[in-house]
Amino acid sequence: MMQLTKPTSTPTASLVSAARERSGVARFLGELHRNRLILLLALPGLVLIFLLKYVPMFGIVVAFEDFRAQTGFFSPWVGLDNFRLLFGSPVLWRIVRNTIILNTLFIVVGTIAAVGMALVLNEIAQPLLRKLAQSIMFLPFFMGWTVVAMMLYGFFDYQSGMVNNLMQSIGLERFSFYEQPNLWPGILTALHVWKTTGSGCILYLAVLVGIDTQLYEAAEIDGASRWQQMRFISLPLLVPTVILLTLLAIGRIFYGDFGMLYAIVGSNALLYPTTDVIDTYIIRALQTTTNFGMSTAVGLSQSVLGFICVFGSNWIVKKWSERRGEDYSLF
Amino acid sequence: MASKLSRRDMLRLMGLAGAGVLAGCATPETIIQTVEKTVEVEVEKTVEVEKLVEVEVETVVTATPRPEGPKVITYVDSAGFGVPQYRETINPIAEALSEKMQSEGVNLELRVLLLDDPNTEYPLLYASGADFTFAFDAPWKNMNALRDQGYLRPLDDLVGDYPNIVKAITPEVIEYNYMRGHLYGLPTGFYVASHSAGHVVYRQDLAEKYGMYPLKTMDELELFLEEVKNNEPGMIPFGADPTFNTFYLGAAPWSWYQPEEYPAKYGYNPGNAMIGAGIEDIIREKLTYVDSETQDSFRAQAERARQWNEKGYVNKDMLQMLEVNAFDEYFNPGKCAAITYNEAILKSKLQIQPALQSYVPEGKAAGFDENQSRAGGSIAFAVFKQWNFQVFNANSALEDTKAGLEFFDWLLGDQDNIDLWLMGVDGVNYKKLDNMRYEDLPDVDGTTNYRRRWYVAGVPGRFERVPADASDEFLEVLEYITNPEYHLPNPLELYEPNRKVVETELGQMDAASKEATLPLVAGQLDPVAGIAAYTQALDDAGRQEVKAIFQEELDTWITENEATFTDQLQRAQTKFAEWEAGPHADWLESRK
Amino acid sequence: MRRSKLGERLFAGANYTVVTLFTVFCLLPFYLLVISSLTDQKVLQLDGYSLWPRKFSLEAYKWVLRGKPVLVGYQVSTFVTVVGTFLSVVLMCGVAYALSVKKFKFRNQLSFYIYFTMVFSGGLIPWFITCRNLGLYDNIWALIVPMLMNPWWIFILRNYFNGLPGEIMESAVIDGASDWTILTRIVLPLSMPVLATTALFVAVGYWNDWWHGVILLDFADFRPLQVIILRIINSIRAIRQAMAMEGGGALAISSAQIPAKSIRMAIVVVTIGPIILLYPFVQRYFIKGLTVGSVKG
Repeated sequence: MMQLTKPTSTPTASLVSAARERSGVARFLGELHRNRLILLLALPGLVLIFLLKYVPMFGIVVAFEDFRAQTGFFSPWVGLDNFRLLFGSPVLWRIVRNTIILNTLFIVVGTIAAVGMALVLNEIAQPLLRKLAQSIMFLPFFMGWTVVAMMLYGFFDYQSGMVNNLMQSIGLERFSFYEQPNLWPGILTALHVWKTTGSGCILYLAVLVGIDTQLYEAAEIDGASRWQQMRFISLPLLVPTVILLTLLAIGRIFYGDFGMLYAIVGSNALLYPTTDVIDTYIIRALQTTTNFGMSTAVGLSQSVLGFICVFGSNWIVKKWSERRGEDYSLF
Repeated sequence: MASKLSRRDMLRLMGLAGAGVLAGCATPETIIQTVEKTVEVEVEKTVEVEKLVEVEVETVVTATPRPEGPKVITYVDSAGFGVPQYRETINPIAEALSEKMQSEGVNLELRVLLLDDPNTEYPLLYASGADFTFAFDAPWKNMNALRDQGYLRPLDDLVGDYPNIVKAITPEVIEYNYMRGHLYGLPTGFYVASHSAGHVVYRQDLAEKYGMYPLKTMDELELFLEEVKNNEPGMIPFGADPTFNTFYLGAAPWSWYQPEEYPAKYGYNPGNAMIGAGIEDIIREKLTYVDSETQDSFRAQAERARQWNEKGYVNKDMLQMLEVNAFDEYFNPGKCAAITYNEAILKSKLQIQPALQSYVPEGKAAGFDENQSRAGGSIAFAVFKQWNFQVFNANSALEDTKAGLEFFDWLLGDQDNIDLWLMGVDGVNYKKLDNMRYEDLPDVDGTTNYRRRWYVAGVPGRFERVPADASDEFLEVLEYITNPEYHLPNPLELYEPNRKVVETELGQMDAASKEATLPLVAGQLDPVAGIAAYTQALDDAGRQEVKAIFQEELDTWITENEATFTDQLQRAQTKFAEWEAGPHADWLESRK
Repeated sequence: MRRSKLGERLFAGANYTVVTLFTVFCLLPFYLLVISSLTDQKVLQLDGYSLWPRKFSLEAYKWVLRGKPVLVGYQVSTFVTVVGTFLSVVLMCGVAYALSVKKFKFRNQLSFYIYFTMVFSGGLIPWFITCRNLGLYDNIWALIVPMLMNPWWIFILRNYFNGLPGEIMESAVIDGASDWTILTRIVLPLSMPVLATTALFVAVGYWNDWWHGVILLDFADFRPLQVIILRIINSIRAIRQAMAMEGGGALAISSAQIPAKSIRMAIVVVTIGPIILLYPFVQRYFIKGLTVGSVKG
């Protein structure tokens, strides 16, 4: 990529004239030349991406090797052997299912909450309340999962949890939250919403405040209620951003929220039926072997699967938005 | 209009940025240095981009010798293993050691690299080809993986050249710590039976209140737990967490105590923890791998955990918080009355009671020898295979490894050197007393003060000083767990299974076993159903196949080493027969 | 003209209720956090969390702020955050703008080039080796450069640029404005809300980053705040582990002396502090976005 873009920084007359010819390469170079200023702006960033993201990708080869210190990236070839750890796992179905279910819940509920909150906040006319609410909602974003887990334990613990103390004081039986796997997708989703809504809605708010106020004024004159304005002006304008963020999230759908699950579920095996995801399982399995070939193989699998998903969704979005005369697709 | 306004805004943003930089740089010298460095780097970068590579080479090379001056050896220290976390406390000691070495003609400079996240960084350093000299490594099972990936330098041909090392560690311990034909680190032998100092810590003051002190058997412990349950509202009788749990008292996963099977079960049992199986009975020559859960001890533990859970003796939710253990959560604040811990008798008085008393002033902690091995109630295999090693990086130059060994040779040649390495500076970090005793200084903060336990120091424990106020029981326990005479020789201890060939299966079994064991440990599951799930999970992960492979390997090993194996086995059997025949109590009497 | 006043009022009322409730929902744990960080460790251990302060104690903060490392950490983190955020936003704007210019035919391929790195990565070791070879090791740039380009925010910026009214730009092109002029005079001024948002999140990312400090700094004598914090947490664990070690004997440290629980709470409060101060500043631009957006032509 870098080699291809390099000639454009020193365009010559011959190149420019060549661009007028029909050949594909020439057309490509011509296009680059026409947009040289744009490319020049983008170049530092693109080079950085190449150096820090693309160069290390040679390491993917380790997924097919028995990695050893002495031979490094030219270690003995073992084919797909490293992939057995994940794909040969007796609990493969469970961990893949949990990963997808939890991520889907997070994406769907999280997006609805963030969009909803942005729309509602946008309606708050009182500047002080609006500012205050926005600032406070942003706070959970800073709390590490370790601290969240500790406080959650303070709430739900059987012996000393606040909830159980409360239930006992009103004459109810104590309830063991940490032994009920079915509750946890819900609890985890709630935590996700709590932690990300405040920060997520800022993004949508940024779009909303950018909307031309004349649109609303016109709607007002036409007699649209605030609700209708929200429904028919604000919401549609958020669609591209929603689609973009969802597409971006889908690419990582096979990656579990490791930080969250490791801190909150940890070694509580009774909850694994609904909360054990690919990442937590692999960490458990590789704790004592630290085999980089195997961990690379797992990461590669997660990437490829996610990539297939995002490719599919992107195609759907492209078709759908084309019919509306727009292009919301990622690429 | 729009652009004007926003340009001003952008200027403001940049102003803020500048102000931030100034604020960041304004104060102490350290940050000024930082910024100076930054500027230098920046200048280098902007002037000549190609120079980057050269700059890089220079930074990497810094760890290797400078033209003149002492040879630098880099020690990767896994903070957290009995080592203080702060560089501020470690660096002065490293400097003092270097100074002392150089003044005595050993031209080395010790640099300590303290990793912030050893779990990630440590294997990463190896894999990326970093050339540090040596590192502390534990435990045994992680070392296997590093060894299998070729990260560790074998010391077989080297260690013999360093007489002080061989003398201190002893040829016997060195021999026992060969793994599959090679010595992959300096072992630090001392305890040969760390299990025998008991596993239960309990509230002595409560036991006294009920007239039950001292507790001697498991039955008495259960009666004590019942009393606590009935008399101390809100207190959990027995605290359980994933690390130190009720199974720690029993069979799985590490083959602890069970009187009737005890000699067969305790000791180094190859492959045991990794595969949910162990060798059935070495003493009675039943040398086949059997599934852990088929053993009575495993079932007994699961049933006990369940009973305790149902009777309300243990906490209902397994403690699962990161960085929190049942001690801090339950025992110290006086929320539970008993708990599992290794070397309970030693630690109950040394560490636990003071911690307890800071919450519960009248509280007293005691440990008890629930397997009664010191009293002669059981006997077990001695353990010469160590958990803790100083390992040498195979990426570094051979000269570096030699320099590292030279350091240990110098260190182990003189108790003063060892004291400096383990205790710090006399009068600053501790007060040196006669007879290998020491005293902590008043006004010294125990958490930041320099201290290094023998097992993370490459120094056998007998060179470690003992606190001045150590009790008689403490010394008695110490003597018992460090003297091989009280234990059986283990004929299988030199055998080591080849884990590399079944690496994937071991990983899957590890994951399965963690999932299946912990609910049993907390008694959260009915033992029958829980054990069935355990069997299923491990067998699905390939346990039977791995067992077959290990078995074949073991049989081959025994055939190949028949003479030594038989000799050792006979010695163990003789000693065991003596123990079985003799009145156990006499043994205890004889030691008094 | 107006629709039912009652309906409007109900609607407004519902909005206020939702915002207030969710705000309280978000504030409650944080309130608990602050209260706990100010509570005596023993009380916290014995009675657990509570909604009102009990035995007041600043002990946890004394532990967190002990010594020079925290101060230095603050300065390193401030420097990294300010410089990193500025560079990051500038570079990402450049890329995002190229992706948004409709006349640039290869913008889709370029999007893909960027997106691909979001899903695929070479893994830890090759990345680490690459960073070391680029000189991003044991110096302050190791904390800044690896985080400069974030595909996520590039796409957010691109999307926002895409959504700007095309007519303005078209007319500018007709007036003979260069891409540079369009970007600096039209696109960026109109994009204040999203630039502010991006800057905020990038800044938070830099401020909260401990990973690069842990992995890419070894012998350097400075560390960002988050690494210092990590060390403080780890030293509590270190002591515990020492006690839990195989064959530990005479390590006479009383772990109860360390206010472990409240320290973790205090750490969060201490690290959030400065970045929260940034928030109201950034917030101005969300509000201002309204007026900027209405200024047309």
